[in-house]
Formats: sequence, structure tokens, C-alpha cells
Amino acid sequence: MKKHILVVDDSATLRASVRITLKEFGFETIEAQDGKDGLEKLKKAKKDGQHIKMIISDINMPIMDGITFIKEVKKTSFKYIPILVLTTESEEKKKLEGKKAGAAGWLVKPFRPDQLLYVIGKFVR
Amino acid sequence: MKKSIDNSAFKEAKTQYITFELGSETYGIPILKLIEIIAFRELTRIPNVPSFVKGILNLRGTAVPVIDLREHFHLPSAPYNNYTVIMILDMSGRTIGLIVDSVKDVVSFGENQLRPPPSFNSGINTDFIKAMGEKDNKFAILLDIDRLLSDEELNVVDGV
Amino acid sequence: MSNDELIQVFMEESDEEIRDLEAGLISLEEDPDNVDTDNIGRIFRAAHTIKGSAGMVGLEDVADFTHNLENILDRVRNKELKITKNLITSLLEAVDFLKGLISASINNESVDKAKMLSITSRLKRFTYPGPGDKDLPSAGSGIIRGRSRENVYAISMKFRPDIFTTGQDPLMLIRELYSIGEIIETYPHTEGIPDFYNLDPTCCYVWWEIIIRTEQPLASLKNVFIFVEDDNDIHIDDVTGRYLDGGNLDLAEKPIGEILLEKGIIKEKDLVEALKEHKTTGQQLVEKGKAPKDIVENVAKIQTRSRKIAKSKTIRVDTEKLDKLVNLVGEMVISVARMVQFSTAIKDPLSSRAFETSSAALERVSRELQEQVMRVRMIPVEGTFNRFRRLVRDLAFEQGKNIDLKMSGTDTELDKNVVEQIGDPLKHMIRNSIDHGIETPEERKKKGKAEVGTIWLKAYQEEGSIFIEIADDGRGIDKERLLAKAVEKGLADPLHQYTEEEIFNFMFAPGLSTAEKVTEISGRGVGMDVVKKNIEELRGSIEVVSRKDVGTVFKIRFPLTLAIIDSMTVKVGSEVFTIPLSVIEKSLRPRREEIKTVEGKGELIDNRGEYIPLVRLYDLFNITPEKTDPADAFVVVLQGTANRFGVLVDDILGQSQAVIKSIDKNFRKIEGTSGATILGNGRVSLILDIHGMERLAFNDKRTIRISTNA
Repeated sequence: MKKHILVVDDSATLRASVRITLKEFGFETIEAQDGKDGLEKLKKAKKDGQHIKMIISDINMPIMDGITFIKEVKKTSFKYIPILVLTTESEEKKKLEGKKAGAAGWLVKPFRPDQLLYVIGKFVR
Repeated sequence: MKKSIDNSAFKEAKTQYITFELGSETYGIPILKLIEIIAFRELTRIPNVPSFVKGILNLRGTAVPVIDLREHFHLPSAPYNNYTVIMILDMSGRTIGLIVDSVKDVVSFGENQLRPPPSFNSGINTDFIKAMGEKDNKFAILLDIDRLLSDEELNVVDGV
Repeated sequence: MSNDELIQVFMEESDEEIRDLEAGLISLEEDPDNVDTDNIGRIFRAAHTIKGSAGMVGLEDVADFTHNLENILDRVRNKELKITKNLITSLLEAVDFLKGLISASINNESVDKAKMLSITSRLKRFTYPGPGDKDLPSAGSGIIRGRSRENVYAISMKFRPDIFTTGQDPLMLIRELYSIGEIIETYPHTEGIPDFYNLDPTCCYVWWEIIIRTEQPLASLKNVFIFVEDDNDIHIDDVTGRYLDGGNLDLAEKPIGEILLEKGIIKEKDLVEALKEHKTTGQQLVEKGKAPKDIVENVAKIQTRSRKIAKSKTIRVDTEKLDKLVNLVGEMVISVARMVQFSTAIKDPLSSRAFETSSAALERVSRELQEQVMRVRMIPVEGTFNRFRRLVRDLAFEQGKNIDLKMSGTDTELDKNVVEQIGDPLKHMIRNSIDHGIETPEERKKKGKAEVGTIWLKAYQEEGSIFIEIADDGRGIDKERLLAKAVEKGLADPLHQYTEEEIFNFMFAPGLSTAEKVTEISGRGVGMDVVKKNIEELRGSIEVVSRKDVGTVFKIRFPLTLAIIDSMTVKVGSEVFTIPLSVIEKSLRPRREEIKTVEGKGELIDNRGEYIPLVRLYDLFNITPEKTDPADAFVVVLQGTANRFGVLVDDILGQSQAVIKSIDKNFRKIEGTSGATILGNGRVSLILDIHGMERLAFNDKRTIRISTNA
């Protein structure tokens, strides 16, 4: 079975970078461009019988930001999926909020492929 | 990663040629370049192009230009008859039809059955002859169809 | 390979973001007092995204440079920085440089470091102004060059041995500290590492002490450790006193607030008050009683909704696939229309009616399908329009004119091809308006007009067509001078009475320019004739209306779809040609005495005193016709760019819709034709191209004759 990872970020470059990095290691990425889209993608994945192993989410996004997204996820049956928040150095407070909302870890942008893989490796076998 | 298409069926197809007649000679074209063969049909003429371009035909909604290979090779013209066919080919991404006298066979030529093309002293462009194929004492002139039409022939009118 | 893909995504994305940035900045400048939080949010986000994405693709120069932009925009967003012309100009300059920087970085070209430095330092002036900035915008932004207070902290980090299993890594924390400030000392404590035989490679045995100097608050540092602080032993102490000798910092490097405080000009309380202002815009407004809370909340809601609209979900589709789809649907619509015509052939009245009903339904559905498919190819003109804000702004500035660019209908959608190719002709017309249309403020004042000139750029849909209008309230086109010029160039007959429309149409004649002086901008050798030709190549048409001292309006009309044209089919010999209805003025059968041959001008038809040159299609295309006497045949009168002429054909077969097929994809462009279409009987028919025919018939007559007779 394919290992699916949901990437929620409004930057196409970031999504592509995660996708390309993870593809080599047998992960399939599902992309969403904001929190609302992310929630929909989660539902869709469930319907399609895909098992999402991890969620990687940006904080600063239009429509629905990352914090709200995490809170929403925690209200659903997807709450056990580990969530990794992506922050920049200027979003310190958000990281705390992310943690409060239920994120399992964080990664500071920009990150290198090995950093991403390392963190994911910790959550996904 | 690209090894997957390098299977035996593909290898075999690579050596196969569709042969056809033009005057007294047999010619061959890599079968992978052939899209389909259709009976000769009336064409829509194109104005102000070299006379070997006979016109265009409608191939399921696509406008395909058609070339008379006899004329292109400066061979004496022959009337079109029941055997005359149009071979629809892929020439470097363009779909082009070739009018030939008749289609013969699909022949496989191995490496050892290929000869370098003869050099003519006639000044006729022979770039498009890839090799001479010989099998069972029969010869075929194998064409490199991507070079059949020169860039000038395709683009001469563009700048007018 | 994958890197290329990533760079490609980045290029597309940054292109889009930069356009947003530019458009946003310019509208900010246009209306600096009415700060549109939505717009500023978008601008900020654009810079934010570019920075983040550039970091992801390893373009550090780009990320660093954009970071400066982001900082300023963040301040603008928080209303900490007043929007001034100076600020916008600096930001636009930075955006310009950023464009070059991105492409240079991607292509590994050298970057003008000196310029980068000077722009960066100019930007930094806006980044850290003192607290007095709000009331003294001009003084605050220019003079003060400094940094906020720096503190030094000692951090001790002791981790539980199994920290790695929790997804955390001390190294990542240290790296993050690097992003917060300058790490001046590091003490790794390795004494806890056991001997090799007792070492568990999955455990962490090292702990660190780190001294960091940063201008960020303590909370930022604490936040680095939020995921580890509960389970691990983390201590942060302020040790600034140890690392800061009293007068060590240059006065100039300090924020003005601090200097004022030190000099006893203001009290600490004032400074704290001023610094408190670092709150969100909405909060500030509410607190100051400038806006009621519910209205602010409502605006936020509206903003969210419009963002939703702006960022609707999309998928990327190869345009080739789309073209194929458009083509097939077009074929289907025409086939259905043909089929419907057969309904009369059914004799049985009952079956006939049933057939009619179902075929009408089929026709309706297929039309709707066609419309929807066409729509997929359509994109809004907004992107193209927005590029002109910059153009207008820069040109107006250069020429010392005050010009306001007003746009409407930017969400009007047009075929992707048209939107992409309409840019150049529009640019030329807008330049014309700025160069020759809009007067200088003095001139306008003298005429009693508003000193600020206006250029309107409108797009709208009407009567099954899309219209784009470029209008200005400038000096208008001088009809007399235009006509005089046309006469001088031999384009107009001095004795003939021309209608206003005819006179304006001379504008589009080749080689005619009414500009008294050729400015730097319009002296680029592109005339209105080329504009008209470009538009017609996109199957559009253009007309112009102008009043002296009131203004000029150019109106461009495009068909809703590009793949299908309304056409007339004509016969010459055994060939059937298709002529777009849009270029046909009329068709006629001349009387024998109306055909004249004029020395040097060839054959003309005298159509009630109007002389129309006659072009024999069979001659042009070297075909054997059935009829050579115009009095037996038909003449189709076409309106070209420079010539109006009649085309002699054997017969007119009828009108129909034609799906345009490209020939040059498989062969090459055929002079005098713009493509082919498939007729009802399956045969191919060439579509006549008015410009190509014009060239064949009027410019190169001799060469063509020689080649066709060969």
C-alpha cells in the first residue's frame, strides 16, 4: 500500500519540493493549498481508501490558516494523524499556537530534503 | 528507468520496414513511422507550393498534406490507379501523406543485411537514403523519412 | 531532473506573485489614504511566498533580498509605516530588481551586488524607524538608520536521551537559533557520552550552552523550544549586561526612541506607549475608536470570502489537450447542425416530429457543451490589464503628465491565446494615448480640463462578442491633419469627400503617423497598421472614434470563440474555398460595362462610382476556373488593412460555420490562407486569409505570377 502524506501550503514551490523529495522514498503526496482544501482532501482520501500517514501544514495561508486547520483536524476522526507545522523564523508565536492546537512537531522553512525526511521518519515508519 | 520500453517486441519493430514500389525500385520506411495506409482519394489543392505537394486530405478531422513521392524524386509521373496508395507517416512530429505506386510487404532487416547508401554523382540530394537493405537477393532503398523534406521545402514560403 | 521541475514551478509561481506585488503596490500608491487591508495582505503574502519558495529552491540571494521587502510590507500591514510616494518607489525599484535577481539566480548569471546592496540599504531605512515615525513620516523614514535593542541570552539545553524518538533533533533547534540571532558562543558538553560499548547510537548524550545575541524578544527564543520544553531541561537567561559595555553601540545604530529617551527628551512611559502600537490594524482602529468593532469584523469576513473567490481551485491542463477537445466539440456542433437539416427528409409526420424534438435537444446540448468547453480556454484579462498600471505610471512620470488609469471588467474572460497576445497591441495604444492623447497639466488647465488626465481600459461582453476599449480624455485626433497626411502619403484622394469614419480609418493605414515629434516611446517603428493587423490575426476588429479636445476611444471586438468562424464557401474551378464572414463586405455580380481596366492599376469594378480593385482568385492561386468573365461570375468584396478589393469566384455556395484546422502544424503556412476546414462532404477547404491575399495581390504580384506559372 502506498504511504500518503498530505501537504497543505499555499506555495506551489513548497508543495512541489515536498512532493519531489518524498516521491523518491515511496511516499505519495496529496496537495492542498489552504486549510479548507486540506480538510476536503482528508475527506476525499478517506473516501478513496487512501491512508494518510502524516500531515504537513503551513501556518500562514489564505482562506483557512494552519492553526485553524489543525484545530479542525483535531475535531475529526483524523486527529491521530501526526501534524507537522511549517514555520518561518518570523512566525515564532504561531509555532506555539500550533503546538497548543495539537501539532506534533515543526520544521522551519526553508528546509533541506534530508531534514524533511528525518522528521517524517520519526513519525512514519 | 527508460529500460522498460526496451523490450524485445520494440527491438524487433525497430528493424522492420514497410516496403513499397516506385517505378522499378523497392523502397523501405521504418514501420514505426507509419501511421496508416489509405487508398488514393481526391485531394484539396494547395496554391503556390512545389508541384510535388499534391494537396491536403482530411484524416478524421486533421488536415494532412500529401506529397507525390515520384515527383519529389524526379521520376517520370504515372497515372494514379487502383494500386496507388497514400501512406500516412509521422515525419518528425508532422503528419504527412506520401503517394506511392503500391505497398508490398513488411520486411525485417538485420544489421548484417544493411549496406551503406551508394554515392550518386548526379547532384541529387541523397541525405534521406539511410541504407540499402538486402534480403534473399532482393534490394530495398531504406529511407530516413525525417530527412525526406528539407527545412527549405517546409519553410520556404513562411517568410514571404 | 527533479530540480528542474521544482525550478519551473518556482518560476511560474514567482512570476505570478511578482505581478500581484506590482499591481498591489501601484494601487496602494494611487490611493494611499484609503488603506485597503485586503490589498496589503495580498502584497505581503506575495512577498512572503516568494521568500519562502526561493528558500526551498535554494535561491538564498532571492530569499534574503525578498525578506527585506517582506519586513517592510509587514510594517505597512501593521500600520507602523506610512505609505508615501518615496516608499512605493523604493518598493517598486526593489520588485524590479527582484525580477532580474530571480532570473539571474536561476540561470547562474552574475548579480549586480552593488545595486543589490544599495537597494537593500534603502529598504532597510524603512524597516527600523523610530517610534516617532508615525507623526513625522518624512523625517522618520529618511534619517534614522538603526536597529532595535539587542539582548544577549545564555541558553542551556539538556535533553532526555530518547529525544530523537519524539521527532525532535537538537541540531534543528540550534539551526533555528541561528535564524533568530547571532550565536556568539557555543559550549557542547560531551562528558556524558559513555564508552563505545555502552553507547546507544539512538540516544542523545550531549548537552549545550549557547550564547546568542538577538534583537528579537525573549518570547521568540522560548518559542524555539515549545515542542521540547516540557520533557527536557531548557533554561534561558538574559545576560546582556555581561556582553554589553556601556558605550559600545554607536548612537546612530540606535532607534530614535531610545536616543530620545537617553537624552531625556521623552520619558520611558511615552516610549512604551508608542511601542504598544505594535498591534494588528483592526485592533488599533477599534481601540482608537476610529472604527466600530462589528464593522471591522465584517470587513474581515468579506475579505475571507473574496480571498476564497480569488483563489478558487484549479488544475493545470495541457493546452494541446484542450485544443483537441475544442476542435472535436466544434466538429460535433457542426455535424449536429447538418443532421438537423435532414429532418425535412423524413416523410412520415410522426417520425418527423419525434426526430425534430430529439434533434433539437441534441443541438441545444451540444451548443451548451461547446460553450462550456470554450470557457475552459478562457482566462480573465486582469493579468494583462494590470501590467499597464506600471507602464502608465512610469510613462506619465517621464513625460511630466498626471494620468489616472481606470480599469473595469478586468474579470472579463477571453480565449487564452487572445489574452496572451493582446498585450502588445494594447500597450502600443496606451502609449499612444499617453504620448499624443493626454496633454500636459498646463495645457489641460488652459483648456479648462482637469489637470489629471484619465485613460480608461474596459473589457466587457456584449452581443456574443468581447469588447476591449481604450479611451482617453486627451486632445483627440485632429481629423484635418490626419486627412492631410493621408493625402500627402497618397492614401486619400484630395477631391473626395470622406466620412468621419473613413478619415479615422486612415490611422490604420501603413506608414501613417500623426505624431509631430517622435518620442522615445513611440518611436519604435510600430504603427497602428501593425496594431490592426495583430488584432485581426486574433480574429478581432478595431474601430476608433475621436472628438477634438474631448478624447479618443479605440474599440476592439473579439469573437467569443477562436476555433469556429462564421464563413461563406465559394467555388473556383473544382476547389471550394472558405472566407470568414467578418471580412466580407458584400458580394455582387458586376455588369460588363462596370469592369474597367486602368493602366498601372489593373482591373477595377465601378460600383456606383466607387472603384474596387478586382482580384481573380484563380490567377492568384493558379487554378483553372469555370468562369473568367466577372459578369457571369460573382465578386466577393473584402475589406483588408489597406485595400478594399473584390475577389472573383465562380460561384457562392452558401454560409456555414467552420472549425479552423491548422495546416502549418503538419506542413507550413500557405500564403493567402489561414488554415483549413472540413466541409460537409469530408473534403478539406482552405480558409482565405485577407492579409495574405492582400500581400499576394498588391505587393508581390509579379513574383507570385512567375512562381505560379513555373
